[in-house]
Amino acid sequence: MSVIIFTLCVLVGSILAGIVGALTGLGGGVILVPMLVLLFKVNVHYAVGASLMSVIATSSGATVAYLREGYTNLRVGMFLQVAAAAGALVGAFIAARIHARELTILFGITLLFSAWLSLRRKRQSAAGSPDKLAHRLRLSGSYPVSGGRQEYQIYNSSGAFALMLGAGTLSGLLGIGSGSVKVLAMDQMMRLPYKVSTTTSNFMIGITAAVSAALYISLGYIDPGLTMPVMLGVLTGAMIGARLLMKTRATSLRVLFSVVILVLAIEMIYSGLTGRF
Amino acid sequence: MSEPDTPAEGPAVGPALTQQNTPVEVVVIDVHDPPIRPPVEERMQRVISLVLLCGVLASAALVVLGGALYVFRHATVTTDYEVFRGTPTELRTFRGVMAAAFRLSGRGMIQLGLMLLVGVQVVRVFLTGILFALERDRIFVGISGIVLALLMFGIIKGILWRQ
Repeated sequence: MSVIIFTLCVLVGSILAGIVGALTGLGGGVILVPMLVLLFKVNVHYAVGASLMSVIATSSGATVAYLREGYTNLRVGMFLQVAAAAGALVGAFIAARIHARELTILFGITLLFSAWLSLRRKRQSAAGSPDKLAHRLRLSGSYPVSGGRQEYQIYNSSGAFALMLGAGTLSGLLGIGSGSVKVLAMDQMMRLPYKVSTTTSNFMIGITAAVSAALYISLGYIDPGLTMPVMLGVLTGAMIGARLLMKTRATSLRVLFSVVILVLAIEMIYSGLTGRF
Repeated sequence: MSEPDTPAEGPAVGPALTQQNTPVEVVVIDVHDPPIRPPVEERMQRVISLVLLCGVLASAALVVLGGALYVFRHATVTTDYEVFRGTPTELRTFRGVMAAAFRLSGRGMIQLGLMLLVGVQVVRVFLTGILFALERDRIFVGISGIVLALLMFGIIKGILWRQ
């Protein structure tokens, strides 16, 4: 394909990926990498690198939008970020040594896991006592409700910390934001109010991705010709998707796209196994 | 103990009025409650948002500009991303990218924009650390420092180290 055709097609595809990512809350990376690898025949290393960059861009954009609203809990974010950033270093370290074929299969498996995560019913775990660590670090906060602010308590911060190590590693390895894992840790384990989880997760994602992105650049995984349309497309798509989100029902979308992800996951694993990557 | 509800003679001021007409709000502060966020946090959050916005816009501008140059100059060249060869060495370090961008190489400018995007995250963590310092939260200044160190490790090892 010529540069101009390729760039335009990737741009359009990335916009779509950005819209889908914003609508489902799964993030653009999850759709983007399979699209680049399967449809555009891009080597998975380049695809993951481009995706990682777009993740930083959308995270920064989202933070600009949400930080001032007052939902983001900076302390929880920074605390978990220690684990996520450390994980990102590990992830990039592994990425440097892993073969494209194994990476493709691993990506497919993660997609399966991600689809399972979004489809399962949320279990309310038995109420425990508020976390001592959270209290020592003064992690709990409040979020705006009509007429003031609503306080909330935090539970199980050490468990969430451990989970963040995994999330960071996945982020560094697969070029995804791991937003769904982060929200899972905060929403289910730490019992943060949903909007606090999502905004804090948005805050964290960009920083985690930046840790591994720099290493990716040195490894030569970031190609400017490819990353340019991807980053611009996903950023645009995410903005469009965020607007659309206000007007659509998220739950029906989530089920639909979990099915899509399932299909993509199988295709990724298949192409990884048969060597067509 | 409340006073009998009889209309007072003359100007109705005094404890009777206070007890029955004006609701008194009592605020009890328990030392075990989480701290109330001071306005300095909100102001810093606005600063962080602004810096982030400028950074993303500047980065996007570089990427768009560089992208336009690249596409116009190489519009008909065939692309091949199937085999992994690695981005040219020049575009892997900050030095190289600055040199490329300065001679108006499209790809150099794109790469510079991408590095700027990474750099903005460092600023973001740094400013958040300042926010905690302003709140006299020493533990979190430390925690921000750790995150900053991890970030800088990735960046120095990545794009600032001489390959």
